[in-house]
Amino acid sequence: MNRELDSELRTVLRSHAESVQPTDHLGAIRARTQNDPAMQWWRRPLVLAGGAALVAASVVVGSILVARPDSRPAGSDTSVAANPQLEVTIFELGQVNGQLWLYPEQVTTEDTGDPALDAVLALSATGWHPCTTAEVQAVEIGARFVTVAFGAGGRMGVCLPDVFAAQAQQLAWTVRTATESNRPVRSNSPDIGPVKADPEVLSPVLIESPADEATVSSPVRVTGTSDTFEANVQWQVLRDGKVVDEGFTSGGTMGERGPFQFTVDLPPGTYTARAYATSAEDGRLVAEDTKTFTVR
Amino acid sequence: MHSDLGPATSADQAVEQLYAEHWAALVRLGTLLLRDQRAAEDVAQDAFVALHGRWGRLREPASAVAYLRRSVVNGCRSAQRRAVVADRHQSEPRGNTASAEASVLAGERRAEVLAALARIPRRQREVLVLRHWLDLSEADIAAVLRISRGSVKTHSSRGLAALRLRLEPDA
Repeated sequence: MNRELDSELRTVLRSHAESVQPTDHLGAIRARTQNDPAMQWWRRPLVLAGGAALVAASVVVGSILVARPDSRPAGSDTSVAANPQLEVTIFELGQVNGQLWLYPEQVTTEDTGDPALDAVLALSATGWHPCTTAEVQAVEIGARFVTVAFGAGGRMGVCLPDVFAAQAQQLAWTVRTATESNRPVRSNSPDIGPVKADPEVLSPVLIESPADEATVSSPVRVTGTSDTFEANVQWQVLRDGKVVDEGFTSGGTMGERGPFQFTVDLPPGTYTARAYATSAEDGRLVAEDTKTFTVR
Repeated sequence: MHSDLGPATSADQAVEQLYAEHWAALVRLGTLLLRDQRAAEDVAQDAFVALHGRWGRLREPASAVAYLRRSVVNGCRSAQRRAVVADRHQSEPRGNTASAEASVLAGERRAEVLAALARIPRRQREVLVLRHWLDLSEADIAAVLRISRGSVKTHSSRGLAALRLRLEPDA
């Protein structure tokens, strides 16, 4: 049975892969890596459903939040990997009803002995390119600022202000977490900052545990942090897209991010935990986070 | 795997050579994971640009292919998890996706297997695609995904079990 499925999967993947006819992107890659001025700007503009106002007016300093200086290498017997590895936290961009939010994600990347640069390069590898074709070359931690140097010759391109502001925050948060310092981050070209990691751009609801793809035992305790209207956090647990359990809990509110949690009894299987908040005015979804995990 | 990438190879040369040898396979890998060829091409393009940027820092040029595969796997994960990539293509028709491929070609069973694959946990799907399509060894999969060989085994057997459960619920 195993063997049949094994070979069937092989056949299906092969025929599906062969039906894909890749188009040529070498020109675009050259344009991005060689800074050929004759090339057109390579990247299509980001188009967002709604205007996302990311530059928060006031900053609540000192909110509890996700500094995870967790640099243990992932996996112990990956001796075949030629380069040492490092686990870093990067901040990815997500959107909920047109509003952009940042989500911390743990990723493993090459350890070149420069954790701040490694983290920023890991961020770049997710497609983070703030209005320039250039790649980040160095991250210098100075007495007052963290300066990010992009390679020479990168060109500015189409760039939406709200997305650019969000990308600057992705950088500020990634650098802050990697350096464990909240010095403002700046760059000359593109012209970023100095900008500080702003707690208000983080998704108002974040699930911290279980980690994505974790295997856990029942009962499952789901924890996270939130900052929502009247501290309300709604949650669901889904299996194959169907809700198997749901409820309410409370976290932080009024600019004070606070912890939330709920516990569910689940038979073995794979589930998605979803925590979210809706608008008190019209019930619209305003924030959410999900994690998929397996109960053994 | 690839011929003569040494420490003396320039970043530009390395990208050209790796592109010639691996572009199609990386786009296909991305498409199998993401079920969206256009998004997979963007992810693969980003992987090459990132490789170019850190070529001088890769201590072992021979690990470039594993680096590219890892970038594609991670990039697909980011693309899938958040809707941002989809928005990039908002103005263009999103053909070549699951429904299109399901209706054309080799019939329902293939579509069923692909649909089941799309619904198992991400890590398990990654391991199954790397193993059953790229034919990578456990050690190579471990290197690409930065997990232990033990985890590769676990994800692989769980992935197959989850797939079977979806395909043969009564078995």
